Amino acid sequence: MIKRKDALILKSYNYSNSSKIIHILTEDSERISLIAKGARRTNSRFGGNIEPLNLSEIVYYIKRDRDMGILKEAMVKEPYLFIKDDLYKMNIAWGLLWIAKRIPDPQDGLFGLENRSLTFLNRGFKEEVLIYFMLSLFHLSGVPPKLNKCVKCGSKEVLFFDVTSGGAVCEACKLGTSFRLNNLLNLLNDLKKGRLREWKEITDSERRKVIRMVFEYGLYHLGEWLNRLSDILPFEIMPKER
Amino acid sequence: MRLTEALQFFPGIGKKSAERIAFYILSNPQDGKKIAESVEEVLSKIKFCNICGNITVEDPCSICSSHERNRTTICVVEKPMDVFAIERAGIYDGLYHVLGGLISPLDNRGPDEIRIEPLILRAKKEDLNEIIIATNPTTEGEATALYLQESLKEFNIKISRIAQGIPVGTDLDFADDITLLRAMEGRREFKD
Repeated sequence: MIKRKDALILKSYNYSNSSKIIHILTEDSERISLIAKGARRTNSRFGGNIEPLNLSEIVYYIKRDRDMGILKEAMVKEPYLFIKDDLYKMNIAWGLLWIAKRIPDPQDGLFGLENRSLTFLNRGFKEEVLIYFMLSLFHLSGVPPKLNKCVKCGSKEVLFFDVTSGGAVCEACKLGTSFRLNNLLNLLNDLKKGRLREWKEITDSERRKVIRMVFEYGLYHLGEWLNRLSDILPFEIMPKER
Repeated sequence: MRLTEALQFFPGIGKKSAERIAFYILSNPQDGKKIAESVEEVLSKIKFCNICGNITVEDPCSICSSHERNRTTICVVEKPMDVFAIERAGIYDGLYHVLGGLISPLDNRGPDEIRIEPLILRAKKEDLNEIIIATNPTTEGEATALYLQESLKEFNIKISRIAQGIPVGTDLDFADDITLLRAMEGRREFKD
């Protein structure tokens, strides 16, 4: 059956003499692979419509008992051009696409989250988009960090963030590995809600701390598969050591 | 059969085609021998040019050692086949630099995995006027071009990017939005 859907192009690679295989995330957050026949020819109707990082409307069909479908049509809806003109943003976007490609079970809402995050990146925000994305991904995956009160005792006097406990903790409940929050609790709440402008108000060392906190939280709660994200993102975003 | 399995390594050759080629070789042993000898010769004689990274029989390659070419311009391409395509067109007489891949973090390929450092060394040592970045206009090709532009801007060399736009002989209404945008951005004035 022929289907028409919006999809985010995650990856494309050459196949046979003139074709390409594309990996996409559809509007219902399903990951599929399609063959775009003749896509590498200069007169191909697919052209730039199936480049990675495009949000495109695609028409395709998958024969019964086949894993891979055939791409019939593609029309770009949002090419995210301001991302593609900036190498730093490109790296962050690659990180977002990599997560969509590797996450074990893509949850409902992942497609929307990817596009919202890419829109933020396209508008000029940078590494704060990654934090927004990760916090929202934890929510989609059912493991959101609790930020309003101490995860362990319920106290509202939270001063630390503890990865293994699952969120904010108070002085009495903190562990040796807990991060001191200072004023970062409000920031995390703002970023979670998509208020990304607050990121500019904190110092570089606080930014690095938030990135480490969120990344370690992801590794612990989503799994070790996330570890390779540090190879994709620029070193200045993702310090390799705590 | 080992031969049919080996033939399937070729791009675009599936099981059926591999069987057909294998049976052709069996029924025409002389042709099969010629192919085998050619493959062996290519593998034993062909190497990579130490300067540009193109495939060659002699090192440095005929392009790098030629004094009839414009030695102040380098055209940067992804793979040796791109050098062949530009040479076939006969429109360029400068030197080349083959990167051997494009930056693609999703494929575990960063700037250190391709020949960017040798290009920077060439930019330092050689007396260059221009470096033309001719990587493919794909997401990875554009990212590599941006990276090269950033890495080479400290040198007093003109850095240019090949033009992008509508291919000759095609229709405008089939062009995608990005291609049209690039074509409009890269438009040029008629000269007398």
